[in-house]
Parts: sequence; structure tokens; C-alpha cells
Amino acid sequence: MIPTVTQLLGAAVLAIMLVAFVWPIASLMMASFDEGGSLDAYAKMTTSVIYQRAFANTFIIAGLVTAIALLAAYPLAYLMASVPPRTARILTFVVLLPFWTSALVRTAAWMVLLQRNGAVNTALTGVGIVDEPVAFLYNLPAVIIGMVHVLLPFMVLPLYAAFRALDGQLLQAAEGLGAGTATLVGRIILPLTAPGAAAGALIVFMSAIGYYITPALMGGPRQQMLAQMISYHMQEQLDWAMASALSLVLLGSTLAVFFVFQRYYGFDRLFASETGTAIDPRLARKGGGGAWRVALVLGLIVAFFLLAPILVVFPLSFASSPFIQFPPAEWTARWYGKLAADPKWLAALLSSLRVAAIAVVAAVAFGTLAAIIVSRLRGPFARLLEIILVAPLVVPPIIVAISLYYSHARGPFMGSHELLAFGHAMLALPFVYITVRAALRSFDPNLELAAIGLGASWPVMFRRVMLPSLLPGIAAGAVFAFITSFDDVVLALFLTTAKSRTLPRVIYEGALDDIDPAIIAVAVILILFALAALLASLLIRKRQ
Amino acid sequence: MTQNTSLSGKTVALAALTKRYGSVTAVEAVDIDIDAGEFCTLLGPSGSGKTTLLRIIAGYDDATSGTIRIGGREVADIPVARRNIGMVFQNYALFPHMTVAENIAFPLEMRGLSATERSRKVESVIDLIGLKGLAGRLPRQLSGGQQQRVAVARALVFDPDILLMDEPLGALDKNLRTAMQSEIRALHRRIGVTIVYVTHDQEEATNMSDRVVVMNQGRVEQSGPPAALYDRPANAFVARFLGECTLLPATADPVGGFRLGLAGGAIIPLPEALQAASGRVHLGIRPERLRLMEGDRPGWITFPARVVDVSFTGPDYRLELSAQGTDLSLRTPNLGALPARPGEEVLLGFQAQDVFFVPSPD
Repeated sequence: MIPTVTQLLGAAVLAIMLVAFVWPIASLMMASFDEGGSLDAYAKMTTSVIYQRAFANTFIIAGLVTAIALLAAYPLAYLMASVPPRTARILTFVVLLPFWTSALVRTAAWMVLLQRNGAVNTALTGVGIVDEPVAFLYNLPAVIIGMVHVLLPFMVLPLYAAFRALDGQLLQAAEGLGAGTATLVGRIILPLTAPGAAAGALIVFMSAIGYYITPALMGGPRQQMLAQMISYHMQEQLDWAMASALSLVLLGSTLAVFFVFQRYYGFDRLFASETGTAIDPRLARKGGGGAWRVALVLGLIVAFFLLAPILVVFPLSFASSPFIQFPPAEWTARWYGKLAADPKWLAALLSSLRVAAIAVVAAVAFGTLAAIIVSRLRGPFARLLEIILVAPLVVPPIIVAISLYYSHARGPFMGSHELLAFGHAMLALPFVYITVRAALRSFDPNLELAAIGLGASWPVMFRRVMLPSLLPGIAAGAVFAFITSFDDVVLALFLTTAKSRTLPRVIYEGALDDIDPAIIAVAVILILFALAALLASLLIRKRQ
Repeated sequence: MTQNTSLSGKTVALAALTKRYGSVTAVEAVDIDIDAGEFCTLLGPSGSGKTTLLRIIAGYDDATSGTIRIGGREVADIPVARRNIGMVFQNYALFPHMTVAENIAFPLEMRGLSATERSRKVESVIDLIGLKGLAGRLPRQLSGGQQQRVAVARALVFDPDILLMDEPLGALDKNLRTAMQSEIRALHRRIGVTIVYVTHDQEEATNMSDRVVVMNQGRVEQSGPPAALYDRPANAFVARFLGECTLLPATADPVGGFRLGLAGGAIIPLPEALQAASGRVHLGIRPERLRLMEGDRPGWITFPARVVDVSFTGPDYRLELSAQGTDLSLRTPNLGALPARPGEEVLLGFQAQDVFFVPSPD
């Protein structure tokens, strides 16, 4: 059979993805077998206690984070689904704001709160609960708190969708039939929301095992996870075989979780939108009775936990003391002045914006084209393309980072904004692809036929009819792409130099030592960026 | 049909048209000749191939074999845009981001008409179709019936030779559907364009068309004026698809006719067309052609039956009857009195011209 034009274009998309994304990762994996296919790295991995501890840490921490996030998400998701629409919007915003705020900024905010002379310790010693500051940081609880905060929105959103799909009358019916709170929760609510919970748990676990920044900043030597080991072998030991072998194990574990997810849910669930009918608030509260009151209290605590570190940096950025304390003793704008005075901040901001601009253009152009091409294909080839186009979402960023580092270490692009932008475009591609693909699904194919039948050529049809319908999807993808690039620190750590470093990298380097108040001021600026992006995305969705 | 405007429409001729998707045959060996200015409806259940046929005429799909001629000209190699065909889609396919006027002007713009020419034409078609004052609205601000009219206006504004309509009233509620049927018929009378209309609703088909083509499983079962199809269906499928009817087995009689078992051995003269059919045949009768009799009358075939149930629809009474174990339906106008009671024994009758014969269904 002669391939059609669409099939040829699909083959081109596949080729680009293989060269740009799969090949660097594959060659990194090949490096684990040394020259001549030796398995030394793997032998060392199985015998040395250091690696075994890293594996154990990784899976124990990821498991704990998943379990705690699950417990925390339930009451909040239930609360969100059972309050009046206006309140639900506020709560959704409370979940979405951290979702859109960079993980680095949130981790830095927790460090400000938890450090020896931080806000929590100041409050505790001030009230006299403890005499000496408590060591909150650089231990297991710190890592868990930080990671739960970073990953919780991924758990809450699918659970919220599951609750929205739950028929409120069921609760009322169950109560009418004599069910108490415990029965209601155990026999009705849990079974019906279990798929959403499992979906959220898999996403959180999958992200947690590859996590880098939060454990690196908030953990101590005893909390070293796989991603840190990989980075350590790559950058400090220059033991590429070992870094590569560890990457292979990490990638294998991630893919295993992903395939379980894919098998039971399909990856479009990663972006479960709030479809389904909302529980009628009155019914849910009346029907839920005791369960609802428990959810109210716990849900508000979780919401506070999500929002507090983001809010607390605002007043802190205006505090006069170089030692960060909360509440600040005196107010000043001098940290913002310091930002303006130190050229490194401006340079980093410009680098970030430049990289983000290139990444957004590349991801939007390629992602949109790819989505249109895939939408016109059927069968296994279309599914293969779809999987490879969303794959960068699944692969841990640390692996994308070191695979590009490995392929370009001695190349002319190392340290350039273009290489970093290329990596960011890869990370952002799935978001653009998924949003445009969704827009295409709601695009009536008859509109295309009608326009062509009325005399339009394909390009004219595309410009006049299809593009206007896709624009909200493309814009949403572009906003996602921007924030993905603008917030990334993992790729920036490996692919930039002191000259080309981006804003998140400068913050990261600052956060490795005690937190400088100037960093808090930058964090505020980044939160405002995230807020703007979030509002833009909500606006786009509303206009859709 | 009276034709009194510039649009006269063109003929459409399909010959031995076949469409296969892999091993599935969607349309098989279809021959249809549609006159210029004719309102022709393709009627059939879903999956009968009627929409496929429409898409092939429009040029959205290629036929596997066979020919299509429009105005006598073979069009297989002419792309959709240059066939000069207007199409109304089932869900209207109005461009959601363009106003009514922009939607209607789109085909004119594609044909390179000047802005003044465009607005003149758009205005006149908006008048014609009864959408005055709505030109600046977006499709989602219109009711279903108004959207339907915009779709028709957009398909007609560039003076197409043929107007194709794919179940255009399917999304409307029953009352609106009836009103739109009259509107489309009136429009067709005014402009006289050739219309090929697709529907699965037999009432819509018989109500609107000059000619109905009944399709089933990719084949044409019968084609002709609605009354001819209704009164003289060619086979059991057409008989049942076009309306309610009772089919009764009839046995061949050596005298050269057919004997209807329950009619007490009456011989019913065999229509010319069926004489060649050597196989078994069924006699068909529609509920409104079966009568309640006072007694035997010359020229009438009568037989006794028992009333099982009586229901009232408003204009009619419907009787469910049983004659020697065979179920029959009868419809009689509501003339102010109950025609019969359940359990009552009645005499039924019909005349030779009230019935039709079809080859026995398998």
C-alpha cells in the first residue's frame, strides 16, 4: 500500500522524536555497559550498601509521600466537591496555585519556614513550647513535608474529579437506608472514588521516585535518593557508567509504574478535567452528615498546608532582618532593591525569559503540528505516536537532563540557551500536544468538510476555520510550556554555566546555603509569574 | 413543480456505483437518475448507505467503481470545491467563531467576490430564508431552527447546481421539524434547485419529495414518487419501511390468481407485474385501507374477525383484530362514535385496488 501524505508526516514526527528524545536517552543507557559490554556498574550496584540504601530510600520515601498525600487529599477533594460552586472555585484555586508555582520556590519557602531561625522555630521558642530551636530541616520529615506539598495537587485533582462524578443522591439514599458515617465512607464513598485515588497515587509515586530538588535541598545525607545518586556520579565522580546504570534502573521503575497506570486508566487521565456532574452541595452535606463535618475540618487544614508556605513569603520578602523571622519585626523593600542592584539577578531573569521564549515557540509549533497529524491517523501507528509524544511527561526530568548533558558534554552547544531551550521544549511538548489534541477532539470534522465544500483550500480552511477553534488549546499549551521552562531547575543545573544560568538555578544555588532574603524576594516574583500563568489558563478555559 | 427563478439545477446520474471500505461494501451497484430541479430523497435505516452515497455525490469520498454525472458531466476527478454543490450537514457545521453573515459570506469570499457583491448577496439570501436582524449573531446565539436556516442559506448563497442535505432536521424537535419541512419544500418550489435529501424518517421523505429512493444494506430497494412507493411497494422491506401494513401469505391458484387463505377462498386478480413471479407471494394491506363492513357487497372481499383491542389516537381509532388466528390492524377515522368494542365479532372487507402483492419475505 502506498503511504498517504498524513502517514509520511506521521513518520517524520516519529523520526524527530526518535532523534531528539529517544536517542539521547538510549545512548545514555548504553553507557552503563562500559566499553565492551561490561556489567561492572551493575555488579557494584548490587553489592555496595550505598546503592542499596539509595534504592531503599527512594522507594520508602516515595511510598510514604504517596500514602500521606492520599490521606491528605481525601478530605480536601471531598470538601471541594461538596461545597457551593463559588467556594469550590476558591478551593480549586488553593490547589491550583501550588500546582502552578515552581517546586523550587515552594521548597525554598518550606526551608524559610523550617530552618533553625525560621518562622516555625521562632514561633515555638517565642511561645515557650521548646527552649532550643528544633532541627526540622535536613532529615526525613523535612523531605516528606516538602515532597508531599509539591506532589499533593496531583493527588487532589484526580480525586476531585472522582468525587464530582459521584452522584450525591447515592449518599442520601444510603443514609436513608440506615447507613451511618462509617458505613457511608467505607461502603459508598471509598469504593466509588477508588479509581481516582489509584490514578492520583500512581502519578505521585511515579513522580516521587525520580524526584531531585526537594530531597537534595531539604534532606540530609541519610535521605539520598536515586536522582541525587545519579547527579553525584555524573557531576562529581565523573563515573558515567554508574550514573547511566542508575538511570536505567530509575527509568525502568518509572516506566513499570506508568504501564500499570496506562493499563488501568490510560494516560489521558493524567489531565483528568473536572467533568461529570457536581454533587449537589446541599444533598452531599445533608446526606454525608458526619462524614462531611470531618472532611470540613481536615480539608481546611490540608488547604492551609498547601497555601501557607506560598503566602508566608510575601510578608517575609519585606522583612528588615537578614535573619528570616516571622512575623517580621520591621518592614522594608530593601531586598527588592538588592535584587535590582545585583546584575546577576537581572541577567538570570533575562536568560530565563530567553530560554522560555525559544522553548515555547518550539514546543507549540511542533506539538500543534504533531497533534493535527496524529488526529488524522488511526490504528497502532497513531497510538505509538501518541505514546512517544507524551513520553517526556513520564521520564524523570533528571534523566532528560543528564541524557542531554551526556550527549552534548563535549559539544559546541553545551551551556547554550538553545540546548536548554531544546530540553525544555521536550518537557513542555506533552502539555502542548495534549491540550491541542483535546481541542481537536472537540473540533467538529464536518467544519473542515463544510469549508472545503464551500470552496476553501486546505491552508485557507486551516487558517480561517480550524486554527480559531484550536487557539484556546494552543494558548493553554503555550502557558503550560512557558511555566514548565521558566520553573525548571533540574535541566538548568546540568546544561547551563555560570554565564548562561537561569533564575531557578541561581535560586537553587542560593538555597543550598542559608536562605538569603533576596531569594525570598525572587520567590515572590516567581509566585506572581505562576499566578499570572494560572489566571491566564483559567481565563482561556473559561472562554472555551 | 413550478420553477420561476434563475436556479434551475442540474441532473444527477449515478450508474453502477459501488463503494467498499476494505471488505465492507457500503454501497453496491446503485443506479439513480435524478431530474434537474427534482427533490429526491434517499430513505433508509442507518447503515443503508444513504449518507455514503451523499458524500460520494458531494465529492468527500471516492466511489470504488461506477460513475457519477452531474449535468451530464462525469465528476469523479473534480474536487469538492469545484463541483458547485451546496451541502447542509446534519449538525449544520456552522463555523462557531463567525457571525451569521460571515458564515453565509464564506463561500462567496472563497469565490473571490467583492465585498459589496458579497453583502448584497448575503442580504438577499438572509431575506429569502427569513433571518432578518440576526446577521450579527454567532451560531450559538441562535435556536436550532435558526441555525438550520443559516446552514441552508450558506449552502444556497453561491447558486449551487445541487443542494445536498444530510438529515438536516434530525436535531430538531417534532413540531419544529414539521414546520421546517414545509419551509424547505416552499424554498424548493421558489428556487427550483435539484435537492438530494437524506433521511431515515419515512414521513419526512414522503411529505417533501418528488421522488423517494428507498435504500437497504447498500442497495436501492425501490425508487419512485412517494405515493407509488406507498401504494405499490416492490417488496416487503419497502412495504414495511414506508408505513404500517399487514402481510398475509397467499397461495397460487391454477385459475391464474392468488387465493387468500382467510378470505374464504376468494380469488384476487393478480397484478400484471407479479404474474411473472413464480415464487410465493404475500398480500399486503395497510390499516387505513381495511374497512369495517355492514354486510357483504359486490366487488368486496369480506371475512369475519374478532376485535382484540381498541385505541384512540385523536383523529383515528385503531383496532387490533384477529381473523382465524391472523393478527390485523385497522384504522378508521374518528367520526364521533366508538366503531367497535373489544371482544366484538365484526366483518372486515377490502377491494382489489386496496391491496398490493410482494414477493414473500424470506
